[in-house]
Amino acid sequence: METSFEKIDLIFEFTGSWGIPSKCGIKHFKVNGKDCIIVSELYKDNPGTSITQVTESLAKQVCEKLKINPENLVYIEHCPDMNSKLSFYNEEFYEVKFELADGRFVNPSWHMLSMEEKKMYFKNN
Amino acid sequence: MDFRLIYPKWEKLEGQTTFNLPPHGPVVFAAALPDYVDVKFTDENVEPVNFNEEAEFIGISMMLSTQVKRGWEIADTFRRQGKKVLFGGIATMLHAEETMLHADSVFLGEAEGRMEEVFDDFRNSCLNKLYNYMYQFPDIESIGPARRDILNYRLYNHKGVQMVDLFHASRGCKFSCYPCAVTYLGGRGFRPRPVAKAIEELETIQNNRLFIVDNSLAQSDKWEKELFTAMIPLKKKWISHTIEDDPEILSLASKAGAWYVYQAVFDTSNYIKERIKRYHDNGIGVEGTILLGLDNQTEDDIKKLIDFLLEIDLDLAEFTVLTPFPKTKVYDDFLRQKRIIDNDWNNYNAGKVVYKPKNMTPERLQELYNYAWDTFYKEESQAQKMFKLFSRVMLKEMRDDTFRPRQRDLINKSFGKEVRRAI
Repeated sequence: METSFEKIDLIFEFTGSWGIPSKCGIKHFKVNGKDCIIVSELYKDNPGTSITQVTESLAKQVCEKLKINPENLVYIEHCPDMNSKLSFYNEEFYEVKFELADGRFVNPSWHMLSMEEKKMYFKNN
Repeated sequence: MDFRLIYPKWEKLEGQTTFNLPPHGPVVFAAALPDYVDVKFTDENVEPVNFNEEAEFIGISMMLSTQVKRGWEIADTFRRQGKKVLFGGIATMLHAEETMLHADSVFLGEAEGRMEEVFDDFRNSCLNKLYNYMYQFPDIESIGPARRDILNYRLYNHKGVQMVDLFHASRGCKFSCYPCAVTYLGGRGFRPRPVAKAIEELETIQNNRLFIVDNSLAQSDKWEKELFTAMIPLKKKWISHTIEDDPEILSLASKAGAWYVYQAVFDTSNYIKERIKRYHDNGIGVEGTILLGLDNQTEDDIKKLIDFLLEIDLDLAEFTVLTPFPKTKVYDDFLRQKRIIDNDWNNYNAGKVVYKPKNMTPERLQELYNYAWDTFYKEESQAQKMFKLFSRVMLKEMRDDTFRPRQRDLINKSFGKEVRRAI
């Protein structure tokens, strides 16, 4: 499936709910010295759990795989445009803030990126 | 070994005709049990749970989010008595983490080929807290006839009229619709049962009227044609979800006994109008299923949709409000957007608004949901419209000699309870 967010660096295989093999798109770049990770939902090309259902676990799996310090992470969930006439399949980006507890991500909260915020994160990427 | 399988009750939607159908999940699960298990079944919707149960092992099968809290309550009571409780079913899969707090064991996945392990572990006092077989689907050919013998059919009878039996010809779904959890539960692939296996099971069902519960039969033209062709000699009459919009398939479905279908009506287009007409042209009735509260719907859109329904000659209509069931995209979206306003699973019945709609207040959407039911059934009640559909199936049955009259001994009973009939 083509997503409107063109530059997915890699397809990341992760462990979803109850160990279900799952996939998402990943883009990794630096913003102001931070590791910015865009995690893209692949919908029908993801055979398992959605990125949001396991957001804490997925963030941990990404940090471990890409060797990112959790303290230095900017984590963004991306729902690509599905070219649907239905608005709930439009492209959206959410920055997810976590608390850190014993090296685990807990208590996620989502914030939809505004146009300005998207420009800030993606201007060179 | 004695095993009591329980199907928890749930509160039915206010103001709507209540029919209790014999549940499907428990009878499919029962067919997967080892031979040494003597299973007895209680559907709490039609009979009370006996908490002085002799069986040491209790199973709780849950299909709906509105069953989970009651299921947990039942489990807590039995566990206080020292009995072991196993949970399974699709609502268990959607609410697994919370259910584990009330269970000795939770089974996730499809039961065929897995129950020997679970029951052997119980006998050996080493029951696991979790049996996780998510996405490890059994060979579809291994799915045999459901154990309908565990049902007390006299409890699924309304004034002498037997309720339809439930049957499935496939699992999984290739579609991944916005509000639906089926792809999480059964995978994103369509898994049709071999037609011969489906027919073998259909031949074991005494009831002439069925509800084929598959998510959508319209997933493989070739299989659908083979299935309907093979069903023709059985002379069953059945309800199903969508059938492929193809002249040959619709004609075959009609010959195979299609009584009426649940068809989503999502806009006021000519396509929908013509789709309904093509079912009707083939003698197949249509119950429109109408989802209210999507983000692209305004109050005006909903009112126009209801007016449209009255124009297109639907036989029945069922209105639901969008509900963010766990493991769906709508749940993910509303979680991220902080739009979920009610976390009480008893309210996740598709008749109560549990989120903030985009284009109106929750209260206004609730009013429009009530308005939709009231307006559609203003001239002719749900019972009257249902009676028309019922008459149609009786006529079909009389024509092909499969009609069975009401059971006279149950004429004053409705789902096991005494009723007075207006004479």
